[in-house]
Amino acid sequence: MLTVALSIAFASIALAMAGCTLRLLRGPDPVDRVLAFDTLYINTIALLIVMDIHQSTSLFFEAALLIAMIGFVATVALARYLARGNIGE
Amino acid sequence: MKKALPFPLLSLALAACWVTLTEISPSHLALAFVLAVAIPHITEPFLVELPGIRSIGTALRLAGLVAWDIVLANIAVARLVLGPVARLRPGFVHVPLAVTHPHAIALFASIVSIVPGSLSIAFSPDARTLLLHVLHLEDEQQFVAKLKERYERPIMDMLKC
Amino acid sequence: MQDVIVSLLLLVGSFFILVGAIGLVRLPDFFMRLHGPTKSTTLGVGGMLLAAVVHAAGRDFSLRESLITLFLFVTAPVSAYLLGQAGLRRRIMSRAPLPDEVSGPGCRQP
Repeated sequence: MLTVALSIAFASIALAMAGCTLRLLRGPDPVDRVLAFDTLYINTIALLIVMDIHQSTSLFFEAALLIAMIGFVATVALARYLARGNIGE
Repeated sequence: MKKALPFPLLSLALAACWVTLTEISPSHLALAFVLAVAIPHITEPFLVELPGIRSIGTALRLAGLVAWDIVLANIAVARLVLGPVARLRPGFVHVPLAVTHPHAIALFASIVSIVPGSLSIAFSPDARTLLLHVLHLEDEQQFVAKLKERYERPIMDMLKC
Repeated sequence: MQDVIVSLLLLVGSFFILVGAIGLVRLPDFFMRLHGPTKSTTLGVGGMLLAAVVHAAGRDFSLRESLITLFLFVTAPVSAYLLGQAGLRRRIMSRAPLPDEVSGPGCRQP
């Protein structure tokens, strides 16, 4: 039961990441790409958590926490840059 | 003479986070205490005084309501996203704000964003109006009235402001 | 029993993560796409983290995983707000007519 659920979870996360990558490559605006990146790192967190469940450890927890923090800061920085870039300065 | 703990709630939350992240042992408790005292002092220039909490019951009820709405509304949004996209009618909506305290406004804007179907995008310069983007807008008046009644009223009841 | 709950939570999480990604790919303009990832994906990851908490409850009970959930739910509106501001500033193509005048406290110039 759990094995099947884990397989489905891995598959859907992979599919979701593929979708994000598609949007990342296609754009059309830089803002879309930042949004795709934002979703991509949240999916990575999900992937690490499922790995944790799969291997019955909490080895990846710290990695997930760090990705969450760094990803958020990166998104904020990129969004601020894009918001400012267009009005001069 | 400055107070030892200018933001007691923040200190408590920091200590709780640290203990949850590590483990309950004397050394970690001591470290949690140091962090809980030091961080509010270092970040004080950026912090805004919290308004007092008037009713913890209302706060808990609001938290439960929001958690429930997140799940329900996500199912509704899933149906919108998976259904025919051409039929969606997105729109921008201006919401006049009754709350004035920065924390209350931030709380309201965050709740509106996290409850699917609407996203806070911008404030007017005087922070009296909130601009929302709505994924599928049917009746603007009714939508705004529902948001204000459902989330803004409990926030006003719960905080002293 | 524990496995059943973990499996169910995993499936729910998978579903919402997929919905978020589908919204990102499928919806026609930026502001509509902003809805999918910020909510569905956050809820999906929340479900998976809940599954991890339930799964770990047998070995050693800890609420560490729920901290990530809390963090994501607090940061999702902030990043959505900032991205929305960036979109507005860039006068991006949108199906809903863009409002004329907006400026927010999050965007004040230094």
